[in-house]
Amino acid sequence: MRDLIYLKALLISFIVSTFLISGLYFFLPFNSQVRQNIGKALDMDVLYLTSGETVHGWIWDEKEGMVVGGTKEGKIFTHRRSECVYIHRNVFLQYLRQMI
Amino acid sequence: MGDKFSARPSRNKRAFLRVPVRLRAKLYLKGSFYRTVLVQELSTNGVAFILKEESSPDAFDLYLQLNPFSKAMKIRIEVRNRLKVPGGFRTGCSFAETSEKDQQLIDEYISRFVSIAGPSIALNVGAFFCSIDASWRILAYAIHSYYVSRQFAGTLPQPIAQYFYLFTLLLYAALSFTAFALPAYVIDRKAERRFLLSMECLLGAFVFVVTKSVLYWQVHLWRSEYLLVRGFFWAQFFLACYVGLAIAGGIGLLRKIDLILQIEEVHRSHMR
Repeated sequence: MRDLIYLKALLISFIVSTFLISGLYFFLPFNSQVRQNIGKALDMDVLYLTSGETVHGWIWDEKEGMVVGGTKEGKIFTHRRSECVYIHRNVFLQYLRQMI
Repeated sequence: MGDKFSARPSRNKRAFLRVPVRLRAKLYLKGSFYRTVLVQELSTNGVAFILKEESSPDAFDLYLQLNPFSKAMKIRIEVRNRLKVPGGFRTGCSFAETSEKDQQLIDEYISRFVSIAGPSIALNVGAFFCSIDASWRILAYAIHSYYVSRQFAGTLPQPIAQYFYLFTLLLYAALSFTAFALPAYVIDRKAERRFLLSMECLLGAFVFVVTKSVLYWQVHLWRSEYLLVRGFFWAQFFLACYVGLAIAGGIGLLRKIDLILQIEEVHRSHMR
């Protein structure tokens, strides 16, 4: 019985400490790699093109009917707005919002 | 028979835990069939059944099957007392001769009967999963709120009715952690109340998990093109099913807990 109490205490400590360690995220400098990576992942956009192609990347600019951005591989893409069936912005942030 | 048996109950100084059962058994007298009886109580050292007649032999061979698929065990029993009850005489007997293997089977049967470990551990595991779920949700909520308010300068909508949802999330975490922290073993009435409280807390957490699973279903999270999101949906679905089954098991256990506590209370009173 005592072993069970110790085990529970250990498991609760594990959850709470993991939570607190993860919470350190907010105390990291804004330009730290972890924050940049998480921010980038949450900010990712997806372009579904009329050709059936899907482009995963980050949209930088949308002007005069053109969509300009960069892909994960570091390539720059430019598409007409009319070539895009749908633009899913901030995909993972939207998912995160639905999941929490 | 003589004065050995009394029609009135005597204070039994038994040291063996006795459990209520309903098992058909056959009585044999000097090798020939005597009667089929319904065993109503079983302990590690004896049985009790109802016989219609007051006067019966002092000893029998009892053929007892603990479950329909097990082999019948032969036990030599000696009648210790008779008590007038509606429908006949409750005949209490002690084991005079049992094989070591049969005695072990009876011991295991009684241990299993009084054990509630399985469902109570399932409840605790369910509460543990909910605690993990609540922790990551709070963290994800904080990260989401941070990005919405800072990085996107409020251009994205905040999570559903922000403060109300945060309160719900904190309540979910509190219920899950309380359900997990409360002891799962039931040894007395006080522990029984704690067990009930733990189950009620988990029930609250279950409502949250089911509501979220329904919402995920509505937004077709399970059809997402991302494995991570689909995996999350199925993990959540598994959590809802597991916690639901654990609670159902716990509810099914309530009557048994009450019965076991009654048995143990009677047993303790005899041991004093």
